[in-house]
Amino acid sequence: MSLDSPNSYLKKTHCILGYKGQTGILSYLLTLDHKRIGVMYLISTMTAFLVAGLLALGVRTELLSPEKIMVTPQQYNRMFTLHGAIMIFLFIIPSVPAALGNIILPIMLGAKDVAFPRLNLLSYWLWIVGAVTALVAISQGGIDTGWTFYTPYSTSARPGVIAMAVGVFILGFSSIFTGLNFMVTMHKLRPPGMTWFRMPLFLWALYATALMQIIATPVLGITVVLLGVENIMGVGIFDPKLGGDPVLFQHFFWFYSHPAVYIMIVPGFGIISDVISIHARKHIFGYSFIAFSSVAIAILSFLVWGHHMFTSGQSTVVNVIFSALTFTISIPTAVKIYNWIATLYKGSIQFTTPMLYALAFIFLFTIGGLTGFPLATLATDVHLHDTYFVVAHFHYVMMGGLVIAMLAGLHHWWPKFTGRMYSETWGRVACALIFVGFNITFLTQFLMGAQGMPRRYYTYVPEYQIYHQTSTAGSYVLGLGFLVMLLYLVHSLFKGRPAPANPWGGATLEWRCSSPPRYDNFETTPTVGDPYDFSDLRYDPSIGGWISNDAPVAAGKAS
Amino acid sequence: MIHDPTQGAFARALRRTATPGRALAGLALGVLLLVLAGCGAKTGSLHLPPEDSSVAPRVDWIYYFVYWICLFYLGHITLVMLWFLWKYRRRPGVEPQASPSHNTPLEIAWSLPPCVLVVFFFVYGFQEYVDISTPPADAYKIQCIAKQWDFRFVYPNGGKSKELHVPKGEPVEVVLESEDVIHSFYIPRFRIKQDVVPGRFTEVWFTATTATKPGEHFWLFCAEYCGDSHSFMRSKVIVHENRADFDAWVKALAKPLSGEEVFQMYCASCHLKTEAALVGPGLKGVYGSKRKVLDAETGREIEITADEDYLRESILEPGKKLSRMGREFPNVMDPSFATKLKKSEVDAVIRYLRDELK
Amino acid sequence: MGDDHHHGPLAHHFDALEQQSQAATLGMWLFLATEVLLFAGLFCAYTVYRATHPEVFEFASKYLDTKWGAINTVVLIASSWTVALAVRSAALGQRQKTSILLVLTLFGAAAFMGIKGVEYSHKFHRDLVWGLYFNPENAKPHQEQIEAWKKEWAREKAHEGYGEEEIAIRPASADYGARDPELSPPQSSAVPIPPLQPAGSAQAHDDETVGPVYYSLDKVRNVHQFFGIYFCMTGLHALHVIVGAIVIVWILLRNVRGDFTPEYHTPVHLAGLYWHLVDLIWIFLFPLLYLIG
Repeated sequence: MSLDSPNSYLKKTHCILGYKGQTGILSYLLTLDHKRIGVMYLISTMTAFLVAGLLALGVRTELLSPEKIMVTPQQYNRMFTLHGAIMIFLFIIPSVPAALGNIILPIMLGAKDVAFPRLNLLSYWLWIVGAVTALVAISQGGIDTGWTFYTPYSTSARPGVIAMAVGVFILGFSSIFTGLNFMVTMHKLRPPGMTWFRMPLFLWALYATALMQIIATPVLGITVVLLGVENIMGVGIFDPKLGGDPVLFQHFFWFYSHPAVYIMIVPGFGIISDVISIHARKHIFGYSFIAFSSVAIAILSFLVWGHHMFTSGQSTVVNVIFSALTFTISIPTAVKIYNWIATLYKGSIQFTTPMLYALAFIFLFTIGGLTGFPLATLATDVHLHDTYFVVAHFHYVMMGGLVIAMLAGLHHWWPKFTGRMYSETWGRVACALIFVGFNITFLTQFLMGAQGMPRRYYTYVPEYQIYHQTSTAGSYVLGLGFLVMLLYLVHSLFKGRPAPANPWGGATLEWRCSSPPRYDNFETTPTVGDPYDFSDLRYDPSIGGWISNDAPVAAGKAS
Repeated sequence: MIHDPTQGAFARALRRTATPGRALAGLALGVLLLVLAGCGAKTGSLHLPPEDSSVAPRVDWIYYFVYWICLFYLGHITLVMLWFLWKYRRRPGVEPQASPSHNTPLEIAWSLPPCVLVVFFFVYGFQEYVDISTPPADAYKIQCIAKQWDFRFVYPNGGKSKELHVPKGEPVEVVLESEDVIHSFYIPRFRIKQDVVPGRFTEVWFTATTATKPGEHFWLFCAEYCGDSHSFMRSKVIVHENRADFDAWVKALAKPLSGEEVFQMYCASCHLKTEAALVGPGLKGVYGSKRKVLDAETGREIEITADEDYLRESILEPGKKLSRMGREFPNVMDPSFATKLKKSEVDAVIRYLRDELK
Repeated sequence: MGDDHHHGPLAHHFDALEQQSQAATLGMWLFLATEVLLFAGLFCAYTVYRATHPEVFEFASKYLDTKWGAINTVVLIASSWTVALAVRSAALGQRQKTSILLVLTLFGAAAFMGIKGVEYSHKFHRDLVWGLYFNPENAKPHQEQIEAWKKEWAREKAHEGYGEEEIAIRPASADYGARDPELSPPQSSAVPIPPLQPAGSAQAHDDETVGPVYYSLDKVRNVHQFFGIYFCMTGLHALHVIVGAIVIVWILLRNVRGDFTPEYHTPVHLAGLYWHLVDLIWIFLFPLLYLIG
């Protein structure tokens, strides 16, 4: 192999994934390499997360008192709308599939790249265009409709909504193309020996996610198109003044947005399965159950959207049916938790940062899932709907679930794609801060919601103030945790010690190539075995990582 | 020499003293204590506000039924996890032990109880919901008109109020309609909520079981986001001790509103009683003053005297002569007062502006 | 970029052309699925509104010109045929024939858009458009249109075995039916708050003997709903026709350049698939919009 080949990795560079002959910012922006695209996604989505997180802190600060602290009601409404819209459309949906998935999926599968690298780059740039379009909405005075854009409020002459609708439409196509790419990759680019049931569970989760992205996102597309033409031309499909039906919009919207909840969380399940197994050095318990439950959730997720509308005035019969269907989807989700716990049994559990996040995930997601029951139960949902109970519930699922799982995955694979180790100590400190801050922030909101505090309120009656203050205090701890994380991760890029190929002892394929991997990932097509069989690996202190039992003993092995 | 990331001094200390497991256990215990505090009912609890309607005790029963089962699940999942974390923590020289990587009978065994439990959740929730959503035929009917950003109630005798008054112990059905966007009618202490959707009627019913003490009230919130002042869109619910009290109150409503009452009900959300402008100009001293206005017919700014005729025209046809006092006021006033207000009410509010808001 | 250009059509991450072609085809089918789902939302809206306002759809679809719709259907099916032949000739390596067939397909696309343009301009001219801009005054049926509807109705009834007497149009019944819409006072049909029950529908279906159903615009409310859905559906479809035509132009240029061989002609195949989808959607749109009156 010649030195000019993009396959020779430049050891000394600080630029992650710098390939020989491909340096400079343009080589990044126009790259067709899935890892680089993934890294760009990671940077972009984390920037969106930062922005939306700061907005959340602003919202929480304003809620310290029912009186005005720093913003007016209009500004407050714009803040929480942007917080929701940015978190959902720009961060959570692309974070795991598009960022971590792009980096890891082909390597885990043993492929050289995704099936359509150009489409992959296109979907990244669509994300950027979508994000910029959403910024236009802000420049037009911002949108204050909530991220759900309920009509007719959103169709009553709100200029920002049009730009936001266009932005969401574009982001939708970005998401569709990613899903499509992954699905084809998993169907057509599996190397010999990589059968469906030798795929690591993260890949199964990404497959289920891709399925949902492909089926659900077009409906979001047409919904925002209709919302746009309603705003621009007054088509009247959703506008009651013109004989339209505003509740139809809610049906359309939730037909996408409920599966979207699972588009967000299912990849998280995949990460947790892999992280727990590897860091407990134990074969995952009930592989096929977890694999199939991801697919089952993907399918059932299309049948439960109506549970967002129990109080919207839809008929009692419809409500009862959606309530029943909602309970069915809880079973495969709930039982997965037992599989993860059982995986710990008789393992050798190492409390690394990724593992701590994974364990935090189990606790937080269990709360998130269980608090779904009073919301799926019709009689109690009438009281709890549109209160802070719902806010707390979906933050436990989205943030306690997906964001924590994403952090587990980020820390798990960080050495792989950056080639650097971060500080374990600071990693654990940040994890503890995030865990504690998160619980203070959102456990309080369960109580506040059950007491009847409606969501999206700028001011409130005095009896809720103590809850709001506690919650806000928790959010500052949470923010501090993320700040610490940002600092040590950036620090590790420059000062972190070089990562070994396999720092955790993983048996999946991505741990067989160098950290970071070369341009087309593997020198030779790897042989595929059971992704959760760790018996062939042993820890080699001289390189600080795990190697195969067959590997020659390193010279000068330290004590 | 490169060392194992988990072997640092701080890390060792961390593992010795405050394992994440122990931190988790501490937190779980705290949470448990917090939630155990939540089981009073009649007077309200940590979880739920007091029960003041006929459905509330039953809804709360279901809530606690679901809650205790969920807590049992959270508890045993957390405890088993912590136990495993402690018992199977990585120690030098201790290899993971062999154990099966799946066990179908076990997996079925732990899948079945949740399956059965959710059936109970569903059935209880569904039965009670049917009750909540079906108003009895003999319910007392009150009409509620929601708009950005208040509720207005109309009683059978045509009387109107901004607060909801109901008798204790009798089923009341509120028929909801919206003039603009979607709102939601939510009384936490009654455990009821219903969206108010423009273009259709929805209804909600309840039987209040506690009378409010004089000067006290229950809150009625708008629970569906409806724009700028969504969080200010709240009203009071006053429950009268008996039907006679309530009837007397409703009867008194039918008497014509005073000018000030009309002003409070219809004007005060946009016009202040001082000279300061809000959405519209402040109305103190408006009567008889010289006003700069935009004449819609000619499109020119003219000066007029705010006499009775001008005030009447401004109420009934608000866009005709828009105030230009100090700034250009937008043409956003509700144009339907000609049908909403009785002639006597228009007269009364003009008298109020003339005689009292001097 | 473009490091995968150097070795002919085979990209670096594939082992063989066949694998690459299979991947591309699977990707295209998945993309077509998303396109179908994009339209599915509109079909859902159509279903909901047709179920809640059947009289609006029955009445308003009379304004669509079935003749032009039918011609367009034929044009699209023909272009689907030519594109199918183009794929075949590309597989056989007949470059020139492929080009000719692609050009014919483009003619089909142009003809379709031309006819669509004629139809749209008629609608715009009479304000037969969506919600906000629907103008019932301008949109009223012309006398000759009413006469045509009457004749059609009489033909149908005669076909069903009714006698002359029964077919003969009676004078206006109490509040609906044969009243001349030209005489009725102009009145906005776009009411601020819709009625709980759509007006006029009940009688329209119960009382078939009254006369031909040529509703007057002030009798059927929310007629603009139909046109809203009509323009959304056909508009989105027209957009797909344009995109499809652009894709075919691109394929045509590549074909002229000589990019395709019998071994590698996947792009022609994929463009063909896309064009078939465009055709297929129209085949659903045509009866649902034009033939329900």
